[in-house]
Amino acid sequence: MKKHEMKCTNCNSTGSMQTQQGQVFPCGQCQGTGAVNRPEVGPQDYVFEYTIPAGATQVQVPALTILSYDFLLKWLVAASATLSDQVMLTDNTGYQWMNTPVQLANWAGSGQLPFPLQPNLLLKKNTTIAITVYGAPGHSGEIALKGINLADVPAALTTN
Amino acid sequence: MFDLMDEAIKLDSGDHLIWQTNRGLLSPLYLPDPEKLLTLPTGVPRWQTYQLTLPPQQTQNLTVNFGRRSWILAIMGNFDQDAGFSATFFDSRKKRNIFGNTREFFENLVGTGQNPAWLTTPYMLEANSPLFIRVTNIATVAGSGQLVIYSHMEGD
Repeated sequence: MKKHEMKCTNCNSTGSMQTQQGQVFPCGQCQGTGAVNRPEVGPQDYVFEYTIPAGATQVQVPALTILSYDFLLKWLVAASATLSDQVMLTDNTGYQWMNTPVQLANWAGSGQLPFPLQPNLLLKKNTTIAITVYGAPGHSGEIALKGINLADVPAALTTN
Repeated sequence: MFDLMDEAIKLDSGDHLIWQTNRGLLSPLYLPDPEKLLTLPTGVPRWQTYQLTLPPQQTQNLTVNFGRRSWILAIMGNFDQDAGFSATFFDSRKKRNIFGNTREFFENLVGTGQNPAWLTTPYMLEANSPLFIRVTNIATVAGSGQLVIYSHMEGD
């Protein structure tokens, strides 16, 4: 188990994780249900929906684990009435993708105009992604990591 | 990354056209040069983010230190005043302003998540060589915004 991974009591995987700040995210493999839905090779979107609760200014979106295949992340998209909401991404190595939260408007595109992640990022199987969204109470939206599940990963890309 | 070249067409002139499937058209060079992207070492994406809150016609100095060798790929940002902000970027290791000595308005410098302002070629910053950014509020009223440097940071 990696340093930031935790065991899920529902599906018995290592999909739960704890950030460097001590935030604990529920299991990214089963989302706490105990049932794991494994994706196929081909296009794949990992979708994070959020609603900031009343009285709060941030929410931890349930984490998601890259299952079955390595995942080539190509596009970032987000939909929200308030694109000034800010996001912080962390993965199960403990790496934070940004130094401070980034506004959705500056981080992701839309279905019509996605943000093309260059170079594309290869996320290895069993990588867990956790997102925290910061904004005003009641704000809601959806963030998606769009890419491809790869059956055969070129050797040159397996060192990421 | 490996399929990027499949989407790029190299002209006899040496320029690249990129088939941007998301826009459904063949665009002149819009992303950084794909051949340069292919030369980047393995690493991770990094967003360096700065909140800007500036009194009228005042300047804010930002220091960006990636820690590891990094390549700036795109700049995004926003601001809430029509007159806007301007900025210069100074590389402390190479002792030079990256985009020239003249300040540039945000309209000409930054993009958004939907339309990022890609650098025409990735700009390398050595490890532990801070980038100094000098942002000025041109407006006669206070303004706020965010500046985001999107980069590729060398991995272990």
